[in-house]
Amino acid sequence: MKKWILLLLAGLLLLPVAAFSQNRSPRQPSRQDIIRYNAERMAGSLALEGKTRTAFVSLYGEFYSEMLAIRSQLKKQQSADMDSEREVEERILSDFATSRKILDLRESYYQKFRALIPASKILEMYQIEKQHAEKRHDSE
Amino acid sequence: MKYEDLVNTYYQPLYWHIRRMVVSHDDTQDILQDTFLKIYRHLWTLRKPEALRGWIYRIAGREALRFLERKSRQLGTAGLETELLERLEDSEQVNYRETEALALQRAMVRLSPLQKQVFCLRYYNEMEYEEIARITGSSVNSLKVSYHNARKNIEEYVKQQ
Amino acid sequence: MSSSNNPFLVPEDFFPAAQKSILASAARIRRRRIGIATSLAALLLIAVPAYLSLRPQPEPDLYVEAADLYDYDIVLQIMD
Repeated sequence: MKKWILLLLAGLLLLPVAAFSQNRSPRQPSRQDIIRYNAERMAGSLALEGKTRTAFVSLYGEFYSEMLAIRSQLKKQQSADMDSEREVEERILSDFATSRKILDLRESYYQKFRALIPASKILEMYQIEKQHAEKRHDSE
Repeated sequence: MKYEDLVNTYYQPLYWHIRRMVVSHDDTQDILQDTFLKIYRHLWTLRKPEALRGWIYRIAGREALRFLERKSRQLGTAGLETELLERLEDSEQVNYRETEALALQRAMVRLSPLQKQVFCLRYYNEMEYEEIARITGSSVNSLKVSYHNARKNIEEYVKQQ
Repeated sequence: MSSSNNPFLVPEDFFPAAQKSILASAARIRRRRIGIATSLAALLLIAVPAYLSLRPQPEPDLYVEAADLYDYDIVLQIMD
């Protein structure tokens, strides 16, 4: 009887160990997780509520998803060699294209955001994005 | 062995074993409480079921000896003997018609605690020296000597009466 | 020699009552142990998930992905 109780206790004591060790390994969030996380976080930072918040989260999610697509392309371009003149030129030109894509994306979404929130809020949104980006850059 | 069966099997034998050493009914009862508590708490540590009887008597014996040691520290050796003898004169504790048995008990009061224990296990419980050795932790030879001395002391005392 | 050589008096009905009392003590100990074990188990079952959920989860650095675009993001660059 006592052995049974001891075994039970031992098993239960191992539970937090197992659970804890699971938490230690870095979580690999899915793409959807990332997008939803950023959208929710931005909605929270902008103090949006109710239907506006829901619509914003959905819209920002779309926007962010397209940003991530540009990022994927950029990563591929950055991994290319720059050994020859041709490769250097390709890189420069693709950098132009990347900047242009981002700018076009922001411009096209501006009106969509504007339908939900005032311009001041959109400005706030940009500022928050900048803060996050700079924080990230600083820590690198 | 289930604890309930253990209690039912060993309570009385242990009662007599301890009472022969400490004389008083109340003291015996107290010692038995402690003994059975220890048995319950440590039963799970017993590896060999065939060693059960020896193990139980070892615990009981230790408790009884601990009791006698404590009393001896309080009253002194002579004081303890006096108290035990007084109990043997108490009509609530003993039956006077059992003159021989009473004489034997009076003689046993004078034995050392270890001699008491060995004598009881050998004479009353009729245990083999090997088992007594496991119970007391003494060697078989020293037990034989102890028992021999105990018997001599008892016979001398009884002869004097 | 006979082992029933006994001068001692025992109160009537002593043995059954004494044995019952011993078994009752054991039952109390057993119940207390089970109580302690159960409480401990319950405590762990509550405390562990509570700890894991309340513990500040390391915030996944999910902005890192978009931030990679910062150098190319003119709008953000010209922002105050």
